Amino acid sequence: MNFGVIECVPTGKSIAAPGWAYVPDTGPNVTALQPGRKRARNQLTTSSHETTAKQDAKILREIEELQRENMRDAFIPIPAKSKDNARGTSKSSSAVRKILTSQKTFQNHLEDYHALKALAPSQPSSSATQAPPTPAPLTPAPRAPSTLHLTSTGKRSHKKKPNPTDPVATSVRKASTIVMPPPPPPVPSRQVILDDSEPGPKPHERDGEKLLVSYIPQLPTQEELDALMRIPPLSYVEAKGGYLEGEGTGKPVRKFCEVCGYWGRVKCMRCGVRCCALECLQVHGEECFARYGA
Amino acid sequence: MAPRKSTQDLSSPPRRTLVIDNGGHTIKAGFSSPAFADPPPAPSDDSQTPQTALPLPSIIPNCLARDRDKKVYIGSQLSRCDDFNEMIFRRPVERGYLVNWEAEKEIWEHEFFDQKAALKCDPSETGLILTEAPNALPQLQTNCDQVVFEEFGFASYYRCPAPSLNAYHNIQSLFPVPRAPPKTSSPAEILLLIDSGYSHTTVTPLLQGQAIQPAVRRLDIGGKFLTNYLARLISRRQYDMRNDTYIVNEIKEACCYVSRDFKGDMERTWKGPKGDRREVYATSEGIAIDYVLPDYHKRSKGYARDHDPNAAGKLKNLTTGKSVEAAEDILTLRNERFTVPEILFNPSDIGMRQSGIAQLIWDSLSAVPFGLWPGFLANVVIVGGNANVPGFSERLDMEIRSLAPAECIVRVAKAADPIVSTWQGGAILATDVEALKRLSITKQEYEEHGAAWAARKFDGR
Ligand SMILES: [Zn+2]
Ligand SMILES: [Zn+2]
Repeated sequence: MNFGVIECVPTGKSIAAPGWAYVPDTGPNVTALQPGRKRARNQLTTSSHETTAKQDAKILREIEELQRENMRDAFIPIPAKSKDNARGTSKSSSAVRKILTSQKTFQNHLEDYHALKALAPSQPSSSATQAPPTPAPLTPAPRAPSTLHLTSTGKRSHKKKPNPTDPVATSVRKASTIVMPPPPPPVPSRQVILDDSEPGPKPHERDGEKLLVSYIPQLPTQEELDALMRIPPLSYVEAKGGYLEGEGTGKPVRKFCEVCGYWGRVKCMRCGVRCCALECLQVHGEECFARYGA
Repeated sequence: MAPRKSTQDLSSPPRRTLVIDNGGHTIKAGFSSPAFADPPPAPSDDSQTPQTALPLPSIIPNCLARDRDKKVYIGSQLSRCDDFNEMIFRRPVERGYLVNWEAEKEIWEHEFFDQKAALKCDPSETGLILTEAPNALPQLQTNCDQVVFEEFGFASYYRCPAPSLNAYHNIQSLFPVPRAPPKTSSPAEILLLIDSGYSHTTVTPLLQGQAIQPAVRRLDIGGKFLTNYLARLISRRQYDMRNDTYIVNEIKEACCYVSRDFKGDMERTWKGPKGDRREVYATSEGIAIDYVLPDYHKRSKGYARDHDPNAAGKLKNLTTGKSVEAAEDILTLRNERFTVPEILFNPSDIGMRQSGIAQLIWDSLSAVPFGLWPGFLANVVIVGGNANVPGFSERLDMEIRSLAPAECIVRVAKAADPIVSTWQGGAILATDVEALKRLSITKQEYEEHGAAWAARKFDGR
């Protein structure tokens, strides 16, 4: 839908009105702007260049804030009365006492961990994990989030087949064509479920089969499974989920109006903040003016 | 250290197990023992799920809290508080991990060890099952083991990643076409567990109750993050509630939902261009909702109700504190209701460089042999408080389907009680003496072999 915002913001006007300037946004939702898309994008990259770093820093700061426990700093000491009550802190070994009195934060511990790891990068220490950041799969099976994602770009419909030129995707297809019951009349394909919960009352000769002896092809061998289960945990940082962006992910980044939360279709030239339309941009403008001056 | 008179035969496991799911927001705690395996004398609640009623834990706020009058509350004492304005919290669990033992000890003593503790026990005669978030820092794990044995002196102890305990549930009963529960208490063969809690969201593929470690993934968004985000939006658009996260959390729980049609809901809640207020905006087709804030005077708990377009004039600033008897403080929420939980699925909406839950699952599966995918995709279970946000599991189901190979069956189920599911899994495990014994470390073993050995054992190596 186009609510007339666009008309208010002539596409050529990125060069600046006094005060602040408006730039039409080329976000994924602004279908009306598609024709002029390229030009608009180019303008954005040049004109907003200097605000980008500032904006990125702001975003990071704001995300960090959202992880906080209290919005203002506060420390609640252990109530004195129950300290008398404490059982045996005095009896504790010095090691335990150290733990009990430590006020290290998670971030402190994380830094300690990485410092320790840097000291002995290749030395197997009993506690640190040795797994590489991106553990190699033990089977032909793919570490290929992006590929898989690719198979579902566009309308992300079920029917999209894996890209046959991709080895991983090919193995997906191979697996499914060889293994699975012929392309799905929906009901029979239920057999894919590995647990023994096949629906319906009729007992099946395979009912007794367990996962590890199931008839799904390419099931890992017992040795492969054993090896897989022996891999130590990833470190905290390694376990953090990745990020897919850019062309082909099927999920372009969405931008929202800072003021009301609707799509952010226009952009403040002074600070880069997004707004949906003039009304919100004016609201923002007052605040923005106060912060950055003319 | 509490080496009481060891009346107990060291080779026989303790009679009782204290199961603690030590969450960032709440501790779920209670006792279990083999006796619990027998169906309990049914607490007459007919509305319960058909499966045999599982025991329920106590839910204890895992915090110290201080109110405006500087009164400090420890753990369960918080239920006595009747004014949560500007409440401040100190939490021993940070980013999901038990970091501050000074505060945690205070809370545990209050709940488990003090004379008047509600769940009083003598650690030297009690076994402990204690959860931790996956991918914990080794130092924090060692600290934990040390405190459990050297400070508290538990008789035996099993530290485990919280997601794994969910495998002890009868997982099949969660899906639409359940089978008879397995006869033994053995863990589910294959389970893809999504735990979306207060501190973060994790994906853990489990085989026979054991995590496939290289495939565990984490998204750094949890309930606290959503609450803080909602607080930010409300503060920008209506009242400054950044110091009222307790209240904002209640607003979130009462109002937020995961949208099935994000773009559509967005249109329904847009006010329209200047001077041309759209008609749909008034009620936004039912999306607009009013939340009546507590005044801690006549109304100690807020509540949500249908939006009244005429009530807008009654707004006043919460922070002035003075309440006119008749007046109500009302927040009207529209797109805040669904854009907040949306960031679990699209963290990039707020500029975060992490993919959403569905992609996180994909990330995880990519480290798993392909032959296991159908099994995992057909057995996805969600636990954690965020699972209770309406629409969460439906949306996840939808997103997984859109990514999964067409031939794969996708089944996504929300645990019967997502908040206590992990604890219940631990309680079930504790009914199986032999299984728990295999997993646990006794105090004697710890003293003989030391902390490093204990760490390796819990790592499964
Ligand atoms: Zn706006
Ligand atoms: Zn600006």
